Amino acid sequence: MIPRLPGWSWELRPNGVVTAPPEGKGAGFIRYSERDRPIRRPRELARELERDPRFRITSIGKPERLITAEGEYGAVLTVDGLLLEAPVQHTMAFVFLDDFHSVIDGLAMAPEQHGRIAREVRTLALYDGHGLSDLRRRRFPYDPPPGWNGIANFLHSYWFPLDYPKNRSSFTILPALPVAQGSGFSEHIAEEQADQSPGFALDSKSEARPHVTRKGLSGSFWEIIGRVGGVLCFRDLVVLDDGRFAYTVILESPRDRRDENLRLMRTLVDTIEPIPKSGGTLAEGSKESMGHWAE
Amino acid sequence: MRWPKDIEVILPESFPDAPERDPRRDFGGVVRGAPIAVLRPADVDGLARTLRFLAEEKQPYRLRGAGFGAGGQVVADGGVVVDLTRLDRIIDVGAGEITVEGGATWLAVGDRLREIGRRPLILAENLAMTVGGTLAVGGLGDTSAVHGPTVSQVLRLTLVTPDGQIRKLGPGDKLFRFALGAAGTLGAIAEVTLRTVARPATLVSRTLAWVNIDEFAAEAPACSEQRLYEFFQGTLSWTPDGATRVHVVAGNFAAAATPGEPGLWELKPNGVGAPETADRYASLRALRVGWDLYRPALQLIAPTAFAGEVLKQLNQMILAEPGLRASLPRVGLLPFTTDERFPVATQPASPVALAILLRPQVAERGSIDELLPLLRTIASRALDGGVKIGLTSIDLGLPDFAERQLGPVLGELRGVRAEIDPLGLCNRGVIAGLDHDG
Repeated sequence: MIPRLPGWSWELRPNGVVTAPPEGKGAGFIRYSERDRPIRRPRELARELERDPRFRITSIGKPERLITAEGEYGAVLTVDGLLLEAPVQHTMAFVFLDDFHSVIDGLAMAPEQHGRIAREVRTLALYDGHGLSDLRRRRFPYDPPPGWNGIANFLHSYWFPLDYPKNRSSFTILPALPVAQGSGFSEHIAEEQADQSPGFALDSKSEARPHVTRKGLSGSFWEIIGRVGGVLCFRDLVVLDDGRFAYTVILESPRDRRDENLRLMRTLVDTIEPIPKSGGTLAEGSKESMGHWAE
Repeated sequence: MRWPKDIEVILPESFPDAPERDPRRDFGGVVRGAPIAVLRPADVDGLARTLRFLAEEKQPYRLRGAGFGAGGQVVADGGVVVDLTRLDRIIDVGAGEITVEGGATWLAVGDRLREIGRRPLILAENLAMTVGGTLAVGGLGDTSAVHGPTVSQVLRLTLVTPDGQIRKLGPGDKLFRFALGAAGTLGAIAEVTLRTVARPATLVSRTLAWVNIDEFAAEAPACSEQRLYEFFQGTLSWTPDGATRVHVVAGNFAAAATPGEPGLWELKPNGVGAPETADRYASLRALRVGWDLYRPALQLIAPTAFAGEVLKQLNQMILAEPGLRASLPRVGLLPFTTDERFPVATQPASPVALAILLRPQVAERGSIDELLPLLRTIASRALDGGVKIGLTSIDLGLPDFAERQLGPVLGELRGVRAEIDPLGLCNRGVIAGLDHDG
């Protein structure tokens, strides 16, 4: 739930709140709703504004990532459009939680209100509180392999090349799991995931090799070899650990694609961002990256 | 008088008797006159020659479109009528705009735009009216609640001024801003380019009902301020036992009803009807307007700050006068967004105003004579209270009407008129008190 802005009205609606400045909704207002589903990319969510027959989008700005005071991921973008032919501007913020999101949608009716409404929307998004606690399974940001298709299943994400299943490569991104520092939990994950694939018969699993990403996350890498239907198959596993969460990426490759896929894996793993702690702010340096969850 | 040879002239012995074409009367039917001739130019050049001729002859005249004036504004008793209905061509349909001659009807405009899935931004409610006539009086239309008076959609204008000049005008021209809404006192609208919008043919609307005038008046401006409904028109009426009701049809152009209608949250009517989807334009198109009744009209335009009080007082007066009440099945209500670019158009200095239209319908001339004093009283009181008077068929008997209605703008309007019509020939007397001789 968002906090109240001083002097603004506060009207409860079935799934949220409408809050308006002291001079009334003719200047603009902010709508808040929570536990909306399903989670989608910010631009797709913004396009839903056109479900209102009065509104037509003229341009959608680039989404900018934010991190709330509770350490949850969010995004903010501006949508310019015509409300019954009058130029207006929406500033929309989304706070993404496990399998739902909240929407903070500010509508500025006149150009002189654009900046003010945008500022208030950002403020409300930063302090949108859900009380889900830090230590739970979480999605985390990374750059997916370029051009691959993503599928989400709750907190897991799966990525497949365009020529799948002819090319039986895939990435599996597990949710970040809360771990206790020095618990040896990475080994346990590697053990559990070594043969966790339908039809996969384990031949061998390498010893853990150290791995450090360009962003300084450290962890281990395992090479697992097995067979699917008698055909040789590689499962490469990376588990990173920031002392709070374990981040797991699994690559499956047929023999002829493995080298190419390992390069993609290194790139992907390098972009993993650790789960932020509570009290965060805008994620500087990664404001524009919103391709972190499969749809 | 020697009439110009290249302009069609109709003399009194040939005046048509069909009421809608008879130059001796108008739609209101209250005021009658005896013009000495009707001139019917066929195009813009002909219109310019006509007005130049009349200026040279120092001949007062009235401009006439489809004749839907209510108070003889298009009737020239002892003067000439310039009939603009031959200038009825659709000149061009461009991207987001349509250019038509002033005598084209809204029906012609609506039909042409409908072929391409568009409509004028603001459509006049009576499709038989001419575009030029509606714009000349700054009339309201079906979407005025959010888009303003019909003049708000004008992008460009060709005005033939009383000196016979053809003037191409845009929003930056003072004459553009003053001519739209000046009741034809600055010349004839020969061509006009209107803004158009793509819209589904159907209006999804519902009826909202209020039992309290104050509550309606307090909430109605929200429709314009927040752009809740593109279409928002109401009526004040009475149950058989005299209780007052306000019913509003509120809707948006859409293919089907959509959930989460914002208007239902922002307005708090006492009753809400189910959504209805209808092709309103087709219904308007099928309407036939009868010319067999007397229809005196009075439009009061009040700023929202005291619109409720005006409406309440008016309601009390109507209920206290059985004669007026019997001839008045309802009072039209239209909250609309004003447009400050047009200083002469009938609108108060308030972002949103409420137009209140009284149009009694009676069959007997004698009944009209009984009603007129009442309507005159209502109009005078309203004017005293800061309300603007729109469409009227009543001689208010106020030589200073123009000054009271227009305030400081009157001086500017007189100045503009003096430059192009020093003798005040064009539509003389249409705005009482505009010309110093009244």
